[in-house]
Formats: sequence, C-alpha cells, structure tokens
Amino acid sequence: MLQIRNLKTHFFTRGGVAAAVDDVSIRIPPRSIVGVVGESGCGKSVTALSVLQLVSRPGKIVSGSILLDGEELIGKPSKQMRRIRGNKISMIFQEPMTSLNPVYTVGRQVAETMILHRGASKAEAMDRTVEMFRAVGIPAPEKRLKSFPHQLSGGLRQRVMIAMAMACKPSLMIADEPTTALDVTIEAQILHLMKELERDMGTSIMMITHNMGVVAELCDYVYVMYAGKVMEHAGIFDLFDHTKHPYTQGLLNSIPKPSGVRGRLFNIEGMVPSLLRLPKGCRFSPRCEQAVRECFESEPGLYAVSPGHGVRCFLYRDCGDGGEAI
Amino acid sequence: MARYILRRFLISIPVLVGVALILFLLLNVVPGDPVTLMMGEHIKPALIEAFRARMHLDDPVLVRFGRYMLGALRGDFGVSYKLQREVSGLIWQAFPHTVKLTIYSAFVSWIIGIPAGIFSAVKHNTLIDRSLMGFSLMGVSLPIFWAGLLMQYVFASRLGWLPVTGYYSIKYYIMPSVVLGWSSAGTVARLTRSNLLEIMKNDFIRTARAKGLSEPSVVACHALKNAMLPVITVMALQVAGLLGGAVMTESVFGIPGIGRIAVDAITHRDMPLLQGTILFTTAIVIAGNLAADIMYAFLDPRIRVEQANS
Amino acid sequence: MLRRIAVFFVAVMLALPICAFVEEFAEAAIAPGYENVLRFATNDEPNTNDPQKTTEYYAVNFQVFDRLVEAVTTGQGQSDLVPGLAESWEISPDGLTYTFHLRKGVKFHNGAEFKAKDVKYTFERMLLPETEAKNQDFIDPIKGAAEMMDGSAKELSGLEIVDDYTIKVTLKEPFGPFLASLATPGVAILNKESTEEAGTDFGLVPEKTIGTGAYIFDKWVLHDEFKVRRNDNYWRGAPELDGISWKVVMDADTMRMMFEAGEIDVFDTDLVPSQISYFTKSEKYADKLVVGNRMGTYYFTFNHDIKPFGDVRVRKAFQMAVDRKGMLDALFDGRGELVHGILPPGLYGYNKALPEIPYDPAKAKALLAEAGYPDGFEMTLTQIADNPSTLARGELFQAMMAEIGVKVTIDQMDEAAWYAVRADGKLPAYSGVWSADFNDPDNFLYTFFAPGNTVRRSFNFKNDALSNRVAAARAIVDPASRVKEYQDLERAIIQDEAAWIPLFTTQHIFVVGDRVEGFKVSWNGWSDGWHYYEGLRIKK
Repeated sequence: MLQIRNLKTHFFTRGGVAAAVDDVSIRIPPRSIVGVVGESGCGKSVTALSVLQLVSRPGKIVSGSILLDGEELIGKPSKQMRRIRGNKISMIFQEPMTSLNPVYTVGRQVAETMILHRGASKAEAMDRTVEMFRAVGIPAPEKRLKSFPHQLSGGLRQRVMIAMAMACKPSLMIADEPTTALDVTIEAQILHLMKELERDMGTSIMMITHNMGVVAELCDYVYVMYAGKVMEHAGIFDLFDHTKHPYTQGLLNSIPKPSGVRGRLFNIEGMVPSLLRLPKGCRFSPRCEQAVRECFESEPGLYAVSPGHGVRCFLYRDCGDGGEAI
Repeated sequence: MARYILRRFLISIPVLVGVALILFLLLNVVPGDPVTLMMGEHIKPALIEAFRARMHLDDPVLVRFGRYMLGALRGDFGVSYKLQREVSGLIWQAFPHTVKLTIYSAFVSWIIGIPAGIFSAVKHNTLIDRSLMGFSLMGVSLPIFWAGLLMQYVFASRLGWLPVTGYYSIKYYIMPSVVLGWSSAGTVARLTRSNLLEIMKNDFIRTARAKGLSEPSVVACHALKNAMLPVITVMALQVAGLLGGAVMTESVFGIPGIGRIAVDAITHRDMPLLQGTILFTTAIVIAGNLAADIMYAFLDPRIRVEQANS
Repeated sequence: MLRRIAVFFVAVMLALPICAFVEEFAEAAIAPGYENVLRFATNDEPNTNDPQKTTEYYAVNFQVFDRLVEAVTTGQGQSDLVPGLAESWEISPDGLTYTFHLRKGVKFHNGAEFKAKDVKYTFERMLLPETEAKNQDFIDPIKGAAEMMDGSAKELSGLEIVDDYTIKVTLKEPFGPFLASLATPGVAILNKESTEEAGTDFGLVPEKTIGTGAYIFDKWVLHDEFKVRRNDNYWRGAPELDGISWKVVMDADTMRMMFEAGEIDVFDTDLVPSQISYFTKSEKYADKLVVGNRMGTYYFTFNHDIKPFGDVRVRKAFQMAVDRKGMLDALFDGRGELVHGILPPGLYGYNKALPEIPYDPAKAKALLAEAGYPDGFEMTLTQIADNPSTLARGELFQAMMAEIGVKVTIDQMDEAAWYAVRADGKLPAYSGVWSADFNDPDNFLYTFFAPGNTVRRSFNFKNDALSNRVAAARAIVDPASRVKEYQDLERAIIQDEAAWIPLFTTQHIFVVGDRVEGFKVSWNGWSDGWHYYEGLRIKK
C-alpha cells in the first residue's frame, strides 16, 4: 500500500548537508501496523514528514520514491498533495497539548478535516465528530465538542487527535510517538485503541517510536533505524526471537523487564553520531561491541537473513544481498 | 466575567484620581502666573484681583483640588481661561474629531501593519521581509510633524491631490490618518511578524498542515488568531499612542480635536482646559487598557474560562 | 475561498476612498459657499469677539461692529479720523465736553435701530466691574468713570442722553486723544437689548453677537474657522464680498502651503514672520505683495537708575553705536523705515523733519571715553525666555555693542517674572516694539515717559519737567498746538535726552492670492484690519 523506496531527505544547514534520511525503504502493507524504531535523531520522524511532504526548510527530499497505492507522492503538486494529507494519510503527534490549536474547540478542529476533505456541512461534520469521539472512547462526546484543548486531560487530547486522524477513514495513519507524553496506564489504553481502530477500520498504522515495548505490543512488522538508515527490518516475531543486528539487540536489552533491575532506557555505550560527521564504514561501528576492522572501513548493505528479514551488518554478509523489504 | 470587568473598572478610579492630583500639583508649580499672562500688557491690578477671586485662585491647592474633583464628579471641569467656555463642552465638541482620526489611523496602521507583519513572517529573512519591516519602521522613526509637512508639500502643495488641512470629509482625513497610522504601523507589523513566527513553530501548525490545509489557510485560520491575541491588546494600547500622536497631527492638519485643544491650552497656560484634556485623555487610555484586557479575555479561551470559573 | 474574501476586502478598501475622490474632485476647487468669500488664515483662536473683553483679537470685531469715529489711512504715512456712527461732533473750547450727533436710520443686525441709549449702554457696560472688560482705558477720562469702575456708581455721570440721536460726553479733565480713543475697536458700539439678552454668550455665539457693521457674525467653529457674511442693509452700503472667513492654522508652513494651494486668499506675514523672506525673495510673488506701514516702533531701553546710563553721553553713544539699518536689513529684509524719535511714520503727529540719528561707532566710542569709559563696561539685556525674534535682535545688539567695547550679557527670564521686575522699575535694559492702540502721539509718549509710567517701564527717566509736560499735553485742545507740543517733546526726550534707542518701524506685508482684487492694508495700529472699502472684490 505505502512503499517508500530509497528515500533521501537531506538538511542543508550552514554546517553542511545532513542526510537525515539516507536511502530508506519501508513498506507498509494494507491492514498492518508497522513500527519504525530508533533513538531520537535517527530519521524516523523525518521519514514520516517526508511521506506527507511536510519537511520544512532547510530540509528537502533529494531523491527516492514514495508510492501510495501505486501513486507517486514525491513531486506531486501541492494542491493534490493537500488532498492526500488528513484524508488518505493522517498523522498524530507526540505532544497532544501543543498539537491542538488552543483557540478553537476540539470539535471544530476535528470537524475541519471532514469539511475540508469530505465537503461535509458544518452540522454533518459535527455529527460525525460526535461519532468519532464515541469511537475513540471520549466520554460525553456531545459535551466535549465545545471543550477547548486545555480543558481536557492528556489522554483525552490524544484521543481527540486520533479522532481527528481517523475522521476521514484514511488508509494510513502515521503516529509519531503518540504515547510518549502520557503515563503508562493511559498509554496502554491509547495503544489498545489504536489496535482496535486498525482492526475495525482497516487503517494501516505507521508507528514511530523509540520504545520497544510499544512495538512489541502493537506492531506486525518493524523497521529499526539508526542515523538515517534502516539497520534491520523484520516481522515482529522474527525481530524479537531472532534478533540479528547488534543495535537491535542493544535496543531490546534496554526494555525494562518486569522482574529485572531497572536500568537506563538505553544501555548502548557511546553517542548517536552527528549526521554532519558520520563515521566512515558502518554508522554504528563506534558503538558496536562486535565490530571488526571491516566495519570501520566500508558500509554494509542490507542482507536477507530470511524472507522478510533484512539486516545491515557484515556479520550476515553470507546470507547474500537483497535484504530490502520490497 | 461581569465581576472581572467591574473589578477592573473600580481599580481604574483611584488611578484617575491619582493622575488628577499629580496633574493639579504639577500645573500649580509651573512658573508663571496664568492670570497675568492671560490679561496681557494693558491690564489693571484690580481686574486681576477680581478674576483671581472669582476663580478662587488664592485658596490652598488642596482645597482647590477638592473643589475641582467635586465639580468633576458632576461633569463640571471648570471654564477655560482663554476660550471662556465650559471645559466639558469644549472637550465633547473636540472629541468626535479625535475619535475619527484615531479610528482612521488605527485602521491605516492595521492595513499597513498586519499584512506587512504577515508577509514578513511568511517570507521571513527574505528581501521582502526586510523591505516591509523597513517601511513600517520608517513610520515609527519619522517625526509626525515632519512627515505631515512633507506629505502636505507633496500631495497638497505640489500635486494638488489632497487639501492641505481640514476635516470636512474623508478626503481631508487621508493624509493625517496615513501619517499617524503609519507611525504606529511599525509596532503592529513587528508584533504581528514576531508572534506569527513564534506561532508557526508550534505543533498545532504541523497538525493543521498534516490535515491537508493549504498554507494560506494554515496561516489565516490557525496561526493568525493565536498571533493576533497580543496584537489586539497592542491595538487597544495603541489608542494611547495614537492620542499622543494626534496632538501633533491635529495641529499640522487643522483638525479641531482634543490634541489641538491641548496644544492651545499649553500655549496659553489655560489650566482648566489643559487639566480637563489631560484627565480626559487619561480616562480614555485607561478605558483602552480595560478594553484590551476584556477583549483579550474574550478572545483567548484560556483566560475566558479561567475568569468564568473564578 | 479565503483568497477570494481577501481580494474582495482589498477591492472594497481601495474602492471606498476612490469613490470619495471622484465625488469630491467633481467639486470646484473653492469650497461651496466660498466663491465670493475673502479667505484669511490666523494662527490663533480668538478668546472672544466681545470687543470689550479682548485686547488682541479684532478680526471679527472690525467687520461686525462700528465705532462712533473711525481711523482710516489716507495716504502713505498719513491717517485721519472720520465720522462713524457719530455723524458729527462738537468739542467745547475748554476741551471738556464732546457733543456727538448720531447717525439716523442705522440698523443693528437684529433690525433694532441704533440710538443714544446704545452708546450709553456700551460705555457703562465697559466700566462696570462685573463685565471684567479689558478696554476701560479708552473711555476712563469720562467724568464718573472712576466711580463706576470702583463700584460706587451704577451710571456714568459724564454721559448725558440729549435725545435719541444726541449724546453729550463730559470729561474729568481735558484729554486730547479722546476722539482717537473712540476709534479703537475696543470701543465698538453694542446693541443694548440683544447684548443684555446674550449675557455670557455675547462674543462667543455668532447669532447673539450683534453689531451695526458691514458684515454679520456668521459662524465660529472652535479651532477651525470663523466667518462673517455680508450685511445687505449696511448703512454705508452693502459690501461686494459675500463674506470673510478666517481659518485657524497653527503651523506656519502649513499656512503657507494652504496659501499656495489656493485654500486661503490672503497670507498675513505678520502672523508668521518666518515666512516673510520666502515670499519677498520669490519673483513669483513680487506683484502679489501688499505692503503697509506698521504703526509701531522697535526700540531698546536703558534704566537711567543703573550706572552708567544716568549719563546722557553714554545714552547718546549707544544711540549712535546701533547700526539700525543693518539690523533692519538682517531681521526684516530691509523692509521698513528708520525711526529717529518715538512716533512711527503714519501716526497722527509724525514728524518728518526730525533729524537723523547717525550710525557712528567711532564717535560713540569717543563719547564713552569722554564719559569715563574708554574701555567700555559690562551690561545686561533682559528678555522673556523662548522668544527667538527678540533674541535675534538682542544678539545683533550684543555684537554692535562689542564694537564700542561694551560687553552685553543676555538674560532670559520667565514671562511673569519679567513683567513683575519691569513694573518695579528694575529691569536694566530690554528691547521691544510698541504699536499704536489709537492714532495719537499720546499713546506713545504717555505710555513710556509720563510720570509713573517711566518707572513702570523701567526707564526711570529723570527729567521731571519733560515728564510733566507729557502728562499736561493731554489737556491741550487745539490740534495744531498739540501736535507741535508732542513733536517738541519727542525731540527733547529722544534726541536731546537720548532716553531710549529708537530703531525702526517695519512693514505689514500681505501676500494676496490671484482671486483677490483691490486688497488694501487698513490703518496699521491694529494687527487686524477693517475690510470695507471701495474696490475690494473677488474676481469672477
């Protein structure tokens, strides 16, 4: 359904060109939840914004292709692109407080999307909004229509955001860290809601997160990104049971275990490299415990360890090329 | 809300009385006897005495102040020394002209300032941004009388498009409104621009874009209302600045408004008239502030609700 | 959608003023109703048009009221008193009794006929303390005036109504300039009934300000404009103009631009001296200037009580050390005439034959040396603060005195303080200009050199014999001997005693627009003129 191929999005800053998204290919099939995981700055949000063509200056999509149901989005006139945003592809963001406009009622903000894309009248849109509010589990939806964002709790705000994103029944919803700002119980409710929506409405979800726990709970398929590149991608069970890439292993180790010692969220040594000064060879090599000499000299390709499971690491070179998830 | 307004209103009363008292004291220590001045060279001491007695000028300052305030409560602000008419009547006569000028000028300042601010913000750090900002800031820096005379010279004297002075129809108000409006357009433009730039960085702008709104809609529907909140407050506060500017503008363009009266009162040390005009202007400025607060409360749901709950 | 709304909005914004323009430019350049109106500008609002209560704003008074006697200019440097509302008069040989025969059939603007009771009312109103009139000086020589002013009398004993058209005025003592006094705008004749009825509105509300004059007070919009319109029933015959208007314009440059844009017809440079050279130096306006003599004399004083000004040689040295021609050139573009005494040309009794005081710094220096000051001395010149034209005069004086070794310090004082010190006779020296209140030498000589006045104006003139003669001259009845006495006094006081430094008289320059024909400068003791004479009209 959505196919991102060899996407390159660069930021042209004074300090030089930063390849925030560097040759990334991601595939999101219909009726699926695909996770994009990585530390902050790995390019996952930029990838999402690139899909919507909302990368703002000094960022620019340099090359690649983004196909939505076979339709190329890159280079689409902005007018047509606007018809896709919020309609076929919608997006929700991390901080539900600031993502809603404080001076309009939430009802109006949700209805706006339907008026825009469905040509609904104001009354129709409001009726639909009430339905949507009910669908996302907002109590007393009629009353909430007239609420302003600051009158709602964080969880309710995120539900409003989801209602807004689902309003036009999009084929894809991009969720950029939708639960990071919420506490754990609310997080669980929201994740549950999203899963339900995917099931009920058939909307695919591109779930952007740094939290492996969220991935485990929600996703069917996962892409692990590091410094602008996909390091590993696999089905959810493959990823957790047959973790290949040292980076993914590091990420998984950082999940707080119910029984275990409460460690830092990330316990991989070292820092994410600056995109302006990437190391020669594998990007992860300076932090990789299993790195060999070759890793510091040339970049590994994506190697297919099994069908649908690609790894960018010389350890799996023997498995042969063609690890791209196409 | 009503209680909030009432409270704000009550607070402004002591402010007004304070201003009146300070003004009264100040005008009393200004050197030079207004009576001698008023009576000119030929005048006889007996006449001056009679006048001073009639005006109770020899009573202690505080007694006179008390009398003045009592009169003011009944709407009696005394009689102008020079024009020999009721101060309140003179002010009411002049006020509509000043209101007209202020409204037209405010309009001009918004017409120039807001679009300039918006364009600058949207095209920020480009040549358009810089020239628009430069243009609107120029108005702030040009002295009103100078800009006024220059416009009179070009548009009235040289080109003959507009009348030099007067206030008889909209044509007469064009130059004064442009001069005065331009002088505060810079503030409006700068504020609009910086607010808009700030707002455009917000997440909800990204949300609006992600919804599929076009860029102008994003700016107009989602950014502007937020950005305009502080601007609207400034607009109301602008009233103070415009009233101040009206003094010069009215004098240059021959509009018989409050500012014009005040200049005349200063020139002739016409204390009752000066006092009346300054008090009146103070009241207007206070009212402007009050209006700004109320307007802000109405426009910003965050404050509105807070007030409703309290 | 949004774009369409914006476009519509902008279109409306632009269209509104454009519509207003089109509508207004269809109009004539001259505002409707002003096609035959003579348009002046003034830079100050009159405080009132009640002639008794103002000493400076006569623009309306001249047109709306008549006086018993009128002062008119009869030629260059000449003036005369002519009958006004008084058709004729007789003066008793002792100079005490004036019998006025009033003109019959004269109507006030409200239709009432002018009669003797109106004169009586006018004079008594002026003298009653509650009126707070400012022009009592002009009629206080009348017998019983003092009693009215101090509140002890309600009627003027020196004024007798013989019949409706005859009044007899008796003076306390002979006062030569009495007729001239009656010609001042302050003594304009009011209508008893309407003025009483108007109360405090008189002079402020146009329709309640009733006179007999050639024009009727038509409107007064504060800080904007006042206007008079033609009196069709005027007893001298209705004027040709529909009316006269005065636009109140504070700023000098604005006023000039209005004139150049044709928004006013007559530009009075007296109001804004800063604009004089703009007009006098321009070829374009060479034939647009209408010039009259200013009935005023510029002067410097010195306080004879302060050393060394008690010495006549020092005073004479000063008279000779001032380059008056140079000063006139520098300050007034040379437009004016040097004055060698005290009376300006054009004033009744002006002495053409008065010898010239030469500019001779060498001789001045010699005189100073003779008086014991070969190296000069230091002195102070005072003035009211914030008065640039006085300062300019003072600085020229400073430079000229430096030539003869006198160091002048200019002391700028607050206005009220300056007047107070001067009234005490303590100001060391100052400069000023005195313009005639009425057309008589007495107005000059008595003001400065009568006993008492010479102290109040900080001269402290020591020649009591001459001072007493100045006071006594008021009682001379025979016009010829009066003029001779004043001319003798002028020569003695200014030229022999060198009591002050006369400078010059300036010109009153009007710039007249293309529409106007036959504009004349009326008698120049007053800053405002009487615009009723043959030939004044707006070109069609």
